[in-house]
Amino acid sequence: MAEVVERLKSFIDRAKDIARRVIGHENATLGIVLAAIMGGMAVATGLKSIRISNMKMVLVTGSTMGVAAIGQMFVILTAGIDLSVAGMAFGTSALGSAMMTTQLWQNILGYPAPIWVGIPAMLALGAGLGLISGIFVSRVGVPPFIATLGMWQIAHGVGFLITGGLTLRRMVDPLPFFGQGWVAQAFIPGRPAGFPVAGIIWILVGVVAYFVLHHTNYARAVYATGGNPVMAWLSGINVRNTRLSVYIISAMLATLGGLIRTSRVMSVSFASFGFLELQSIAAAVIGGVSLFGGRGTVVGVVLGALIIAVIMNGMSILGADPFIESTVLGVLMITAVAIDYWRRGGR
Amino acid sequence: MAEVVERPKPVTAREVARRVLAHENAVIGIALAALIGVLGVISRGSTVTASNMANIVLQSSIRGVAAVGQAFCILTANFDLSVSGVGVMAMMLGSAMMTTEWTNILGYPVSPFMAIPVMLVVAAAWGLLSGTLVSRLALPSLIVTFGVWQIGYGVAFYITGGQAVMELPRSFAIYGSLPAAPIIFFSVAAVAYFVLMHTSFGRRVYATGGNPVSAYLSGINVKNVQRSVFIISALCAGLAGVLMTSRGMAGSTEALRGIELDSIASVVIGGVSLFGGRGNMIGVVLGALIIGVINNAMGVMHMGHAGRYIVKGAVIVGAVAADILRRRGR
Repeated sequence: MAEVVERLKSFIDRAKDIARRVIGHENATLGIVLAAIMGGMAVATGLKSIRISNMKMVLVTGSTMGVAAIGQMFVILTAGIDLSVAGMAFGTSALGSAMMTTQLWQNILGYPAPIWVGIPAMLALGAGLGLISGIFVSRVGVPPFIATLGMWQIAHGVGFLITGGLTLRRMVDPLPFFGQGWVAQAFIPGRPAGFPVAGIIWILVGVVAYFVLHHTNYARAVYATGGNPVMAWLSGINVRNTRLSVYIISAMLATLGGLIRTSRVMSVSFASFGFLELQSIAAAVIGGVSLFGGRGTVVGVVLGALIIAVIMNGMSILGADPFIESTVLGVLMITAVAIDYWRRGGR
Repeated sequence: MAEVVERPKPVTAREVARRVLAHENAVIGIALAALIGVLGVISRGSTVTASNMANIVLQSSIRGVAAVGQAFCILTANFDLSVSGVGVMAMMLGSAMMTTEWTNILGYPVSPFMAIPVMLVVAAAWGLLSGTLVSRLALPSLIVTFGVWQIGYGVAFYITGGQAVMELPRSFAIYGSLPAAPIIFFSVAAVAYFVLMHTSFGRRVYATGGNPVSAYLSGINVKNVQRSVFIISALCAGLAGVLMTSRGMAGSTEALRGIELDSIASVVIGGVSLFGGRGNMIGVVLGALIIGVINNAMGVMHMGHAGRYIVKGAVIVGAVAADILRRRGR
């Protein structure tokens, strides 16, 4: 009898230990917070928010921010910050849509370019602009915040230059697939079923980023540069090139995010990407990425972006005013940074 | 061995010129003059008319007031990105108190003498909020003020539901008009100059920005200094909101967009180091005028949004890069 009790006790202890470890893990906390918010939203919206169709919608609308947040994460891991995300997404989407629109008077080429020309052109522009801010940060030593703030303006200006301040509409045919398509559509034409393509893109980017940040030497360079640049330099890491590369990655992922939103709403205007940089920073910070560099995981950032997407979605179902959205985002961000501060142990 | 007699060098005109040119503010002043000259030539004289010059001073004084506050923040190696959020909130609050329209939040219009102090106090309270978060919790000022900016806009929208507010009392128009606004700007800058150069608080600001650890060790309450610069910056943002409301005689959530960028650019062009502890108020005033001249020229020459964004972005990054490269050269 005593043996059974003993065994039961040790079993309970082990279960407790596992539970403690799971809950103690940062990302589990985030998962619990996400579940709690989803539950709260479900109650508040009378279960509307947890319908499958709405959950897919959250994935689709959140994917732009989610993809951009993963890029932002690379920058923040090196103790930088990328404020140019919204401008970058607008500038590159403007180029892409001006090349791919079927409204010929708005098309800068005179004919709608196929997507295999338009999308690489967008990514190239994004990479080019990211390269410029990266050079200013890594080679000249301009603080990341100023370099990317300036780049936000410049990319925004490029967007205005291309669109002339107008809203571009009607893109060539296969483009909508990225933002509004469903996986089943690829096999059975005209069947809007299955998983949203935008969600797939988000997951793919997440998986690639996870692999890069867990199983490559590049990851070590990124974390080391953020953790302690001098130490990283002394141990033979090319700190300058690492810093340069993260801005290119962030710019290209912002471009990809812009592509998803462009193909979802099928129009681009200067107001399309308001607050994207704020949302991406908030997602990264909520996801447990330290603003002082060197700490954070991809899974956390994806969860952070999901939390914001769920909140935004729930508020729009509830018909909240835009001012509440803006205020909630601001409060969320400061809270997340404060939590980061407490986690660091009051340093 | 013959003794070498050192004769004091005569002070030549060349020496005087060299010293003047070596002074940072002289360089900024010359850049300002050159900019005005070049833009005058490009625009075929339309930017250098007396009325346009007066316009530039008027436009610069609103942004300049915000730049003076921003300079305090940057001198302690912090940033205030919340300028337009705080300014717009003060603007909507004040105009919604003074208007004779249905948008009045009190139900009856109050006089400017009541509304202006309320605007300034509320703005300062927001500075207290971000200052407390930055100094007490050691959060990065960039994020805190970004969040506060967001919240400020949210509150500004909330006050009137995003509705623009018109029909302000006539007597309110004076503050943002020609003689008054520049006078307010230059007096604020003069007070700031005096505070920074001739008071112990000014010294504490420079010390905190230069090296917070040694400032702390020499008995300066670094946290309080940090908190007060955010209050000063928010107060200046509120004052910019007052001037802007008076100039447009309306409250609109779009009115001050981008002023934090302009104020940071003014401060940076004015030779204040982004790493704290270096810079002076005369440079900031000159920097604000330079930004004013650029803004105005882009308007006069009918440059589109595209050109404006690109030029401003390039000016900000270029000024900081120039500052860094110059210091690296020493």
